[in-house]
Amino acid sequence: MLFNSLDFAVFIPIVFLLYWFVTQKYLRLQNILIVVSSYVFYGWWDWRFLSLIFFSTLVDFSLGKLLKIEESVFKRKVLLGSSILVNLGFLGFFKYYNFFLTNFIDAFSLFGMQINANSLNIILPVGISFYTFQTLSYTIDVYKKKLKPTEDFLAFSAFVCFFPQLVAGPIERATNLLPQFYKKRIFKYDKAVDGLRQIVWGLFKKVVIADNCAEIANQIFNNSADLNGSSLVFGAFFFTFQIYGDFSGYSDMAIGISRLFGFNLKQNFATPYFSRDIAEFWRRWHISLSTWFRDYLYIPIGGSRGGVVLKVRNTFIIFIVSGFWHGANWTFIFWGFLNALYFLPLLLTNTNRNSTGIIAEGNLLPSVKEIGAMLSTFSLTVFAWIFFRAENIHHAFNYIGGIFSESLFMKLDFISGGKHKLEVLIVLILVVLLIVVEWFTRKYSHPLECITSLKPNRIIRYAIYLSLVLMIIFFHGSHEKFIYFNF
Amino acid sequence: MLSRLLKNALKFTAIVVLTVYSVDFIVTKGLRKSNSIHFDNFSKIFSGSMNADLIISGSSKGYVQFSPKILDSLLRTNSYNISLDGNNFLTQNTLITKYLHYNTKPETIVQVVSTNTLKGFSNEIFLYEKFLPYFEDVEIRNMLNSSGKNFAQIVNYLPFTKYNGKPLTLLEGVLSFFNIHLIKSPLYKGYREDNYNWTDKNYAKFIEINTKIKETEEFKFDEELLVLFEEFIMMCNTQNINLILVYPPLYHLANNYGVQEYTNLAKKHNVVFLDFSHDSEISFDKKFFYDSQHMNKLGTELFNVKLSKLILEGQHFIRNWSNCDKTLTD
Repeated sequence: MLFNSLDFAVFIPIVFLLYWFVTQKYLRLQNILIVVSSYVFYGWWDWRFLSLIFFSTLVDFSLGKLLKIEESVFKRKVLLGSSILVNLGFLGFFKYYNFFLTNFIDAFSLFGMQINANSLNIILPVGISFYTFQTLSYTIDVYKKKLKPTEDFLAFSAFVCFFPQLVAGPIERATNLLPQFYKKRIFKYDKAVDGLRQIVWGLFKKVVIADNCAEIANQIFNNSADLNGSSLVFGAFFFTFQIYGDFSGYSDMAIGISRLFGFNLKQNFATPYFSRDIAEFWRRWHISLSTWFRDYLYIPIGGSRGGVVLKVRNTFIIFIVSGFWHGANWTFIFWGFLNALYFLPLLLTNTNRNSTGIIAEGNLLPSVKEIGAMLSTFSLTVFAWIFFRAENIHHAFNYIGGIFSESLFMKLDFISGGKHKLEVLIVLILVVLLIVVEWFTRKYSHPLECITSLKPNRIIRYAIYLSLVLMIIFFHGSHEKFIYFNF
Repeated sequence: MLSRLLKNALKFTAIVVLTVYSVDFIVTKGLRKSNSIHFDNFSKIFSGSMNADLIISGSSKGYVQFSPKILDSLLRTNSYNISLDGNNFLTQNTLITKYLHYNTKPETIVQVVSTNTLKGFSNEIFLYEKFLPYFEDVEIRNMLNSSGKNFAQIVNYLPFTKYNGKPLTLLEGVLSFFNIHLIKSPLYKGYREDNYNWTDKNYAKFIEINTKIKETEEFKFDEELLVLFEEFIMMCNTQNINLILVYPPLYHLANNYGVQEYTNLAKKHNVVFLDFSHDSEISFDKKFFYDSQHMNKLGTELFNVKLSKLILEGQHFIRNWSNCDKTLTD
């Protein structure tokens, strides 16, 4: 079920009313409702994969309980290893089996050895990368004794399958989300209203920005061999906003929906395209994944401790693994590698934590230096997204070759084949609108949050809401599924 | 607290519903009187102000290759081109039906036929927004629903969503509602004049692709469209409308799929079929085309003169199939 579908528009009010009117007085009943509705939500795609979630839940819950009573270091390590094996095993089979197989076959054929092995027709379960990481974080935290293992199977099930963030994050830590299932939720008007605002803003980013950008980006990427360099630059630019609108929009909706049900999820995006360097970008983009890798991979392998070589090695490991997490394709690996390269100068000069606060804090506009820093970071990011979007590594390099050709300064030629040029202009205006709104509200967790503090009068508030809703209804682009559902 | 939220949510929903229905009303009314490139023909057809003696119906092959200016002057008639770019016979037939409903009966219909006329849609209807202001019409609604376009299901329940994702259409509708017509249709009586040449780059691409197409590629009409087409021919016969099927010139290296099938159909229903697909004078010269399927202005002018001559010569046998066999292999 997609957040921007009619099915969900029917599903969510039903669950909301049942949650607050029928099960309100009983915590267990509320948790049961969350589990049941989450399973319905997930099963809407493919009910067969519900067994995977249930199995993953059962394994990590049981291992958590065993870790509580087990004192032997070796046995605790075995228990942790079992959790990693099960979760990463699922991920490895469903997501990476065919990739490894074909690459092994290719590698052996280089040495003249022919291997006969058929790839499997495997369907990737939606959101598997997200919920496996979420359950893994629980077992690792329990193993490290940062978290008491839960005795409440229902609460743990609800934590694993909580539908707002089940399929595309944010990847929540058990330390933050799990305790919220132990406590009775109390309806708070302001929190619910702000949740609704965030849902509307997320929908706007997804349906208006991302889906419209997708139409143009798809047209350009799919016909890149026939287009000139200037058009290819536009393709990368529109994809940059497609992926941002798509993923951050989903995160906003997930956080907003959770707030409607009385939960608080962690912020997942913090205006990443205003970052002044690539390190800041990674502190602002997909925060829940970046911090996951930082806490459960980067720090355990040594982090920034040790010599330069170790630091560089660890940086490359975390970026490449992070790239590979996104998909079984060399494009994602190269995308991770490229980001590590971007990060390297900051790491070596020890300037990777120079830009931490809100950019141009207290000022209406950024300084020239800040504009330069933002634009250069943005350009590097746009360039890297080409690898992320390309069908394969050859496509990516051909695309880049097309950009850096003599046709770079030629008149755009992508318009004639698809959208009307005025429609492209409208999409561009919408992107600019997004940038402007996000700039002036950059200190808030989402732009419409400023309404809470600025308290404009009712007519202005309603006019803002109505404009956004009308744009969502009338200006939506092609019904694209969420990009991150693939991951 | 909860009831306050629900009350406000309902209030806001009511405002949204009222606004979207108002916008829908304004846009629909506006588009119905629009004279822009996409809506001009439809406005004239549905307001009953077209009333031509000769109607040209087809896809892009009709849209850019049949000039009412030439046909009117040579045939001394009042013709109108209602072809739908990128569309097959499903939409063409619906438009003819609407034409006949709202306008006086034409003496002649030139139905342009080609490879894709009776092939099913693989995707959504190209420029389907032309039909949207008339979505309340049952035949149009049924046609859109049967075309495989995904929007149709939701639009049936929420009609205001029909202009979703079409910001320019919305804008045009609103402006036209207030009688602001920014861009008038550049078409002459529904005909678009494409005055450019086939570039060497595109020609080379065509040759490259064309060599890869297998000669044995199976060609088959869509069965439902075929039934619809035969019903249309029979309707013309019963209503005494002269129906002329015309296969316009293609570049000679392009396959003229369907010629034999159209010939058989024409014979079966005793209607005229003029096959120009590999015309000796036009098809073998690249200068008359801007791609393998479409003639440019130069080719179109020559073709329309040839077509007019044939129609004039055939006036006396137009209802008599046996006399017009000579036109089949011109």
